[in-house]
Amino acid sequence: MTGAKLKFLWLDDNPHRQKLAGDVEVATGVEVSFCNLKNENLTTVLPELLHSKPRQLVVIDHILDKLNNKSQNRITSRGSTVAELFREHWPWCPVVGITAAEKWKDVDQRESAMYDELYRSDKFGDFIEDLPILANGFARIKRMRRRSATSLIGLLDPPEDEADRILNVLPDELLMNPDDPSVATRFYAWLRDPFFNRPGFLYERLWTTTLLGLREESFEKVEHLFEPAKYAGVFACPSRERWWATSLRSILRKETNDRGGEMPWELGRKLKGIKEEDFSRCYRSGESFPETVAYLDESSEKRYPMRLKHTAPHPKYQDLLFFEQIRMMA
Amino acid sequence: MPDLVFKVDSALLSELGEKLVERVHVALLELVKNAYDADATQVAVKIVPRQAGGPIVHVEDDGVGMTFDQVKQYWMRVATTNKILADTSDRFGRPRQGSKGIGRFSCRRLGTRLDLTTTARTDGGGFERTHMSFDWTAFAPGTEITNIRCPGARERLEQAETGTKLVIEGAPHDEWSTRGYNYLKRQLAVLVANRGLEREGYEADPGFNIMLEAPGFGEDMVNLRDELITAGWGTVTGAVSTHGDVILRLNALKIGSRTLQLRGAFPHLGGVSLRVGVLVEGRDQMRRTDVISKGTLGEILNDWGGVYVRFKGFRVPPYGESGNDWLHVDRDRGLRRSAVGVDLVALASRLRDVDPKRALLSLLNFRNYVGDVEINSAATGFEMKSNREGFVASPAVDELAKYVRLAIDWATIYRDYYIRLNAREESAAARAAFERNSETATTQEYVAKDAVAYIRRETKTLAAALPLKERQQVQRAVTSATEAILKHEASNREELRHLRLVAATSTLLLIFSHEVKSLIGELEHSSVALRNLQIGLDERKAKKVSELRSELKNTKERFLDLLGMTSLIAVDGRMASPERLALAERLNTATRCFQLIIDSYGINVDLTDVPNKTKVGPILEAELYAIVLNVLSNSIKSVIAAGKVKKVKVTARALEGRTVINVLDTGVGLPESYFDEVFVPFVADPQGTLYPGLEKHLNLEDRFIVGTGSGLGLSIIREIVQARGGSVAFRTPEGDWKSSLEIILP
Repeated sequence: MTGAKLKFLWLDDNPHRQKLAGDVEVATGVEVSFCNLKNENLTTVLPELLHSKPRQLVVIDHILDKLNNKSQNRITSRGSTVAELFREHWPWCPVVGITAAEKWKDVDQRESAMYDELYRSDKFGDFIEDLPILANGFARIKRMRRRSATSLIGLLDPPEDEADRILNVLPDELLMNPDDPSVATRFYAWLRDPFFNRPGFLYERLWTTTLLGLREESFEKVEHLFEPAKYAGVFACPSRERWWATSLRSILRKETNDRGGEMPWELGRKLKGIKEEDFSRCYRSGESFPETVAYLDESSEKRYPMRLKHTAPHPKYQDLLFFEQIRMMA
Repeated sequence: MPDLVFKVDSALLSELGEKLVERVHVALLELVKNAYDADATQVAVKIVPRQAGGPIVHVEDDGVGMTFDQVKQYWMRVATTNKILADTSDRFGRPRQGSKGIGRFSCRRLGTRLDLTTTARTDGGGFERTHMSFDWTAFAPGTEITNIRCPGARERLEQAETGTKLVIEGAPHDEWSTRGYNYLKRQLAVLVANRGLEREGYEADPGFNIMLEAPGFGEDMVNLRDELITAGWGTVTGAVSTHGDVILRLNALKIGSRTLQLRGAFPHLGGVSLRVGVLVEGRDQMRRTDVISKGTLGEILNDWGGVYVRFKGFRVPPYGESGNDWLHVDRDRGLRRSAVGVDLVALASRLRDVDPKRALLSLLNFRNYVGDVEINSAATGFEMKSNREGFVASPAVDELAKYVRLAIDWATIYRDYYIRLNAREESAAARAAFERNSETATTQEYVAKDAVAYIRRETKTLAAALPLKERQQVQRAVTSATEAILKHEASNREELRHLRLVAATSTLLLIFSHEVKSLIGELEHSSVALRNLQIGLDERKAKKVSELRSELKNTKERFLDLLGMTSLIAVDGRMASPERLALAERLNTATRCFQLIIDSYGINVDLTDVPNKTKVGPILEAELYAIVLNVLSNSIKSVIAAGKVKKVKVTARALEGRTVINVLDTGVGLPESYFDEVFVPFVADPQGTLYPGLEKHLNLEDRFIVGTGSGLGLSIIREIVQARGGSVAFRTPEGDWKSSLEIILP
């Protein structure tokens, strides 16, 4: 970045959220222009905004039901439609939706797909620091002189031997049109899911500790050893840390002088400072050495370390090449 | 010792021609592939039936043909390797389709006699025509191929059209079937998808088409390219008048024929026409499965999908080629552009269930649109670039893209409509099937009353013939039975009325939860504000603020947990499906809902004997929560009412493939005589000890928390459990426990 202050635009028909927008300014040091749409005619306001200088990020309220009656119709009462217009006019600008909690699960998937992220208003505080990260990430992609699949992968700063594997799973649409202005949105969509959200190349904390055979709470005893494995590429977020799976393994082998043959969850227990109470156990059976992290069942969002033999493939997740199979308790 | 040489028996031709190519349609396909490989642009295929034996087959192409020497060198030489050595055709650089040099012997599969006429350019200028006749019956087993002479002739011509013509006849049996013919058509359709391409180092390929004539299969003269374009879900055709007026026509599956007219919309496009097939890989979305199949369509779309542009009869590269998204179809899919353009909003709004702001989400990949735009000399403003790679930018070129895209978007709106129409039909069919299978009659308030009156009247009439004593006996029995029916029906109606009331209350609960959630949003703001405040404070104060934030976060999470329960009410039972669910997790969550009251009254809720591994069901999550919330609520009320040691314990164990759940408490208990009665609707406290006890021990402000006792809780539990193939009953408690409820679930 050049160091210039990031400028965000916030479109909302709930004037109370202006306070939240102010909090974002204070918390992240960006400049947020809050556009209160309550009783406004969207067809008048929007063209002016769309033709103004693009900002680095747009936040849009997903339900715009307090507009001027005349301008309100089935199309404009959804922030997703407005998001689409911004995509067309400001293709390099990430668009974030915000929605009330009770509507979260009811948002039509096709509407939520219009946003780069759709956050619950009652958990928005958890994502405030993501906003400048998102804006800076998009800006990095825009600034690239020559965009190609390889250069996009370079932004992830992967371990040396991972780049080829990532290239293998990069979607065709990114391989074919890496220079199209929609590339940032498409690339981020793929990074968000599956690359970041699905364990495979990267592990979040629970998967990481399970790999090391440790309880989540005990990981801090050895966390410093694995600092080099921490993901630091584009869109890396300090509060949602992830580790490169291959780097975790190689550091583990080095730290334990392993010559091969032992499983990582066995090696993890040999790390200095680790005691028996730090060992992870299978949620279902209490056995040692849970090899995977599994959901409780199809409906539950709770996940725990489990022995592989006590789990089955989760029917709601497809298997993806190079990504871990998502499983649930058998 | 003299050297020996191999001799080739004529039986080899039979092996190659008749046994390797097992089916007649495969044999003919090989011959057309040969034409494709000979850089033909047009092939006429005729299959003319005869009264006896197999049909006469004609294959005539305008390819490069063969000179006499080539016939001698390649045609008359078995298994020549020229195709293997050169994998692309000489003139247009087409990847070769035929193989192994055996295609010509496929002729044997089609008939005993072949007349071959082929015309080719000669190296020295001019043309040479070769005619050969082959009588395959002469190649009988036991004879040597090299000893059989095939009569032929050659002539030199100044002017001629190149090409090859094969006429095959004399097949002793008609081996053709409709299935085989359709297979042939589908395979040929893959070839005709080639609508022209420029390959580096070769002449521009103008494309390949087949005219197919097969009266035996009811087809006179078919342009296979036309058939291909119209074989998919829909076809859009369009024309622009000299005034720029546009007429678009769509013919599509379940949509029929539709027309769209726009006046003066494209002033530069006078005379431009288009014809685009919307081809979707799904058998249910194909109008002509005799022309395309899922397998062949994948190949067609992959190699030849896209809308091409033809200018004065010639294809203009690179429009429509791989990677050339000139209509921005894939770009818009990538951007998830969903709203239709202003010209089409009114149309989209009129179609049932079609949402103009989402209709374009049914847009397909650009390869799924297969067809050509023809620009003739009447159109103005089109100028080819000097390298012939597309047009020089101009308003006419912009208009052209908009025009084609309009046609695609318009068709997409109807496709969205079609998708919704299908969904509605499937839903209606499912409903009809349900109604057919269900024997439950529509509930009418007076049905039972009327039915009873009818029975009484009919019985009275029939009994009139009986002697007085018997008549009175029958009438008493009928009156008693019908009274019982009416009472039961009245009780059912009362239950229904109450359930309606409960249902209405759940709506109020949802409205309430909506309001609470808005307030939680405000809490979120406070949390963020506290975090910002923390930044400027010294360590001690910052720690205090951090603690406050943490408390606020916990409170918010508790609220969200509780509200999560209300959202279960909103779950559409038709959408949710029963699953096997982890029991311990649901019990923990349900217990947290009562945490305030558990803490206030010092109740010990023990779930340790519910193993983590226990799963129950298949059951809906909302149903499982209804069960555990009700049983916990009952036990909590009971231990408070008893006012002594307040313990609730839930255990679960597996028994013969089922799960036995026991809910034990130290509450007021339940005498065995009431074990069944408590499951009857509206029986809330048969013993009369629960509510007086609660009155005595419960703080006034907590009364709403445990509910007022509708008397429906246990009856609802029984309904759910039995519907899922389980059972529920009170058991005589052991030890210090006062009550033991046993639920058995699959």
